[in-house]
Amino acid sequence: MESITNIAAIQNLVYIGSSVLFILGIKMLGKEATAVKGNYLSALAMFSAVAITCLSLEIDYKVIVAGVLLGGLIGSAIAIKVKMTAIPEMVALFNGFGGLATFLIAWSQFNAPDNSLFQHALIMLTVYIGGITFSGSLVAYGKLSERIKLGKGSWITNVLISFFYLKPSSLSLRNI
Amino acid sequence: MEMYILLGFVLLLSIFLGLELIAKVPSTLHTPLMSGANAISGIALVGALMLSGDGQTQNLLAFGAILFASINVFGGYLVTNRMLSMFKKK
Repeated sequence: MESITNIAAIQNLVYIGSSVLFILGIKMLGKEATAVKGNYLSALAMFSAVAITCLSLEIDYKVIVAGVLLGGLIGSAIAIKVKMTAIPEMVALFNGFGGLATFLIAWSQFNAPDNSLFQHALIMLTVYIGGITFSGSLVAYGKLSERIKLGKGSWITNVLISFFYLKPSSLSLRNI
Repeated sequence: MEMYILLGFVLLLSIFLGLELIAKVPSTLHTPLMSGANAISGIALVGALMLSGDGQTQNLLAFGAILFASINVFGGYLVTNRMLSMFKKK
């Protein structure tokens, strides 16, 4: 049991615990009587996963603290202030932000020096999925809030956007 | 390569898990469930946290990723909670 004292082992155990809580959380969200509790459970799972990740990092916390504080503030402000009728488009917008985060993570991994071909393929797939999630969610936001209307030619834009995300050189800003 | 096979296995199991969890949900709860599941997808925040601290470009990307993932997490859970509190009043 020596390896249990190892931080990496503890981290992975916490991740397993979080996964269980996430699954129970979704399960409880599916029943009206337990839905609120399920949401709290899943938030607790998120908190423990993020906390244990922060504890096991050995780097400068400035970027993390600034990002989480600012993001938490913006997210909370939007969630609390938005009108009840505007909630569906806000969910679409949040989903888009999640996609944008995925996109940026994949971009960062793209800059790593020693990616194998398979890793590179996975990174490009992630860039594609993250990017499509972002632009698609923005369109969903626009349509739900009645800011934009799409004509019949919109599939052309979709195809062009796909090519943009699939083209590796769109991301080749390695040395800013 | 073994690691990728293992990860593929986890991916496959989680796809089935998702189907099983969502299949029997009453339609009134679809919207909060969608919002809650979206908040969970903010788990990308954990990946974003691991990126920081390796040069200026990387830190900029990490900051952006952490920022947007945090908006998704905080906003997602709070909005889900607001939606569910609306159900209670009935």
